[in-house]
Amino acid sequence: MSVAIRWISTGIVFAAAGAVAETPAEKFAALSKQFRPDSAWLRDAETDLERREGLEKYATYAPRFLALVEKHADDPIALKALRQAIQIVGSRDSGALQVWQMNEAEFPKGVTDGSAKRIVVLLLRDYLMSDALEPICDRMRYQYRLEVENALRGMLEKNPHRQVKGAACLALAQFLHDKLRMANLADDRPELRERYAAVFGANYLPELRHRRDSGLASEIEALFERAAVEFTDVKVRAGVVGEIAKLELYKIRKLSVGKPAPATEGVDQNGESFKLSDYRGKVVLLYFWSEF
Amino acid sequence: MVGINAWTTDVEKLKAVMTEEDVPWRTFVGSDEINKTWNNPMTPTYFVIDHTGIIRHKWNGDPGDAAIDNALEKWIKAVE
Repeated sequence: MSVAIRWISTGIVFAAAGAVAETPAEKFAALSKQFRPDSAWLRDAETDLERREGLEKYATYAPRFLALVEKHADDPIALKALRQAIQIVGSRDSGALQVWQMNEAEFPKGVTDGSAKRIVVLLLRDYLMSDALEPICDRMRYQYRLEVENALRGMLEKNPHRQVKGAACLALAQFLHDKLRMANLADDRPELRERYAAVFGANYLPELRHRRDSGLASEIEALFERAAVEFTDVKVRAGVVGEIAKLELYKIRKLSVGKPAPATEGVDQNGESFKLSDYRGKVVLLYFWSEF
Repeated sequence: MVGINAWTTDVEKLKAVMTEEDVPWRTFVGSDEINKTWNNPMTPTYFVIDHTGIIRHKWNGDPGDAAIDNALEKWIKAVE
């Protein structure tokens, strides 16, 4: 009698488990639904503590989306989950920098869950040949973690699709350019040095500086040049690769330290004409401002 | 100090903004030519240009008063 009851209850348990077994798409939808309210952490937080806790909770979603990627590698949701994880890692890092700026106490500890590394490994191992990587290149451009460079280089060198290569080339140039800017800005601002160390680890800024000293600026220029020449017509989310790259090259070549300021002529707030060269003989601080 | 307000292309409007915001420095009104030449930099962007017209410093974003003052001091000394 008792054995029969055990069998029946086991049968019921198995039946119940079968009824809630989710497909990868369902799991992804369920996790996304849970994620949505927590993704508004910065908007909803009002105190230092709420910001810190909101950020820390938000950050936990990256490994959770990555778990889906790893478990369902062949399912179409895997690439979606990977893209989501990439966005979370980027937002988590930029959010941390913001919280460090805003808070007076309750500073978040740097996240060291290895998500960035996992993302790169997964991408290079399972999706390197995909033709659907342009949106991922687009997201990777804004990442802070230096491991991301390997993913972008991998796509540029090994992916067979021209659109992906072009997107990766441009994203890599922009990614490195942003890192160079971070290094330069930190020269002048000690509070940034502290912040980068807290959020990204003590080696982050020294590594950026080392790259800068080893010719990063030339590397960046060469990448933009390659994007402009080899991938001129490739369309990406932000526009056309050739046009974007040419603008960046113009800025690098003409509007940089050591170059003559370009001739600038116009009208001032009183309607009077004047030129930048009118100030020859004086040191000029040229300030681009807006009222926003 | 010379300003460029690339967003405002109307002289009257610029004058109004500058009066309201108490902006004292001479500012170029935005124009297609200026935007093209300087490539629509994000605001704030600062350039320090020495007395011969060479760009000596460039900052995207605010580097802080100390950095700007130090740079200006260095290049003003070069004139003397």
